Amino acid sequence: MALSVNSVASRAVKWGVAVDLKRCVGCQSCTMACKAENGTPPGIFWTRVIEKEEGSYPFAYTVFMPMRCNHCSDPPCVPVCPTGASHQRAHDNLVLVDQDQCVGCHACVVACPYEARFIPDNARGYYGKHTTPYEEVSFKKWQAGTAQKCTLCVHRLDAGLQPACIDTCPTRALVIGDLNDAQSEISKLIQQRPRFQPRAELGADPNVFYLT
Amino acid sequence: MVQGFNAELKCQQEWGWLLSVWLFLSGTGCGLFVLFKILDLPIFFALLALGSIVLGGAVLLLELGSPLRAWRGASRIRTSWLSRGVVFVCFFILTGFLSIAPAWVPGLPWDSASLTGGALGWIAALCALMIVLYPGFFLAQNRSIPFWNTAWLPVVLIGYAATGASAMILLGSAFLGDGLRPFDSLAAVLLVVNAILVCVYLLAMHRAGGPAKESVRLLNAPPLSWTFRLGVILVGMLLPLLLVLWVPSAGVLAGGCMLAGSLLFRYCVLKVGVYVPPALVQAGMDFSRLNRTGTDLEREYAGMAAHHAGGRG
Repeated sequence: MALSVNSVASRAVKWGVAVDLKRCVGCQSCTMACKAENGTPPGIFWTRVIEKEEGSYPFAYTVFMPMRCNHCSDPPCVPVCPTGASHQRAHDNLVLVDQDQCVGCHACVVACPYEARFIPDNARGYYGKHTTPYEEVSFKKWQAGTAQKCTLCVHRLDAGLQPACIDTCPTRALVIGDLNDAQSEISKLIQQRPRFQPRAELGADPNVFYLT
Repeated sequence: MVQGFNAELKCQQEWGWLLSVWLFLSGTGCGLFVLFKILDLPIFFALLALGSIVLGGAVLLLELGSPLRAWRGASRIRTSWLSRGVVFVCFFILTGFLSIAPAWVPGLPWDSASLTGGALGWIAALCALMIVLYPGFFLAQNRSIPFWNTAWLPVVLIGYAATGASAMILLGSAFLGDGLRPFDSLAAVLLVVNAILVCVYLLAMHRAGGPAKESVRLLNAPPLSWTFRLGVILVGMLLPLLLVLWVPSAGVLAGGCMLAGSLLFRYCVLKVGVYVPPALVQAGMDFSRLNRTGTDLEREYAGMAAHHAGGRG
């Protein structure tokens, strides 16, 4: 689906994601869409839906919470990087990793409060030593021994498309948009609905909003 | 690594033995170099300190995912404590070797007694102090792990650096004769001070509650309980204190125990780094319909049944 952004050259875009917890059914479609789009290594999920069971029968319920990089306004993973590989794009708030510069020191992985950064030890596929044709192509997108994370599908955003996870969500629980644009859908949603930012008390100013 | 899909208190899984060995070797070695300068110890100890750092640096390279790019690690000294650490280590090795080089290399334009030699030595000691401090600052910077995010951690790491250095002196005295016997009492004082610091640190973290309290609990629960209680407390603190105070001839054993405890403490601190958990249920979420009592449910189901029955009729 094409992305609707009111581009204004004079101001930076501040990407944000709204997650409607009343709509999320925990289907993990976003998890799989991300994996298919970005070809992440076995066992590593840039986005995932965590769940927690509360209460006991007959009053038991499950809470779902899609988790990803929050592309924070003040990301704690960036200043700890000793090489500058972890950086925030100048014209928006996307937090990215230049894998050619990363030394794999794990500092950013530990610093991230959302456990949204990963360092794969090797480039083995799901089926042992032999990689599938899909893995041969998709594993070229990252390097073993360096940090990787959700890029909010920067290649799709720059092409005017929504990230794969948001495009695929069957219940439309995920909404992306420009937080600097007061007329964007996400800005209206977070103005109208009760919401919270995950672990906002840590001071990173995350740009993922959970609507309750 | 495999990501979890459930929301629980989780420890960091990235750092373990390799980083512990680096923290141990760098802390102990640099503490020893500072004591070498302050107490005017034999030059053997300066060599020991520099050797520890070089060995520790080699171990640290193994920790990196891409060690061949390690040279890039010094490019963000404005923001990153790791970058600053790399710079301190390089300066320490350079100035440390230059300060003691006149002992072996004749004809150098300075000697250890000259102003230049002394300045090089004190610059190296200052860098050594910063190498002791920077891991504490780096870990304490992590807002997501409350057990590390405290000013107590750098203080405790200084305590362990000093204790480790005194253990190296005890071990070194075995090779250099009995001239260093007075340092037994220094080791005893440092052991007591360090034990107090560790107690205060753990007590503060226990009282902080939440993930920090969970970290303290994990130190006393399997699989780390034996490492912490036996390795850190008994072997690393109590046994060497008894040996230093009442069995002066067992200085080597006491030193070995202190070093083992020092290494294990760093390992334990790293392994129990518990993250602040995601808050799945926040204020403002309406779960009132899920918290209905059995009577409420029965009434509601009866109402629904009557409604359907009425509809059919």
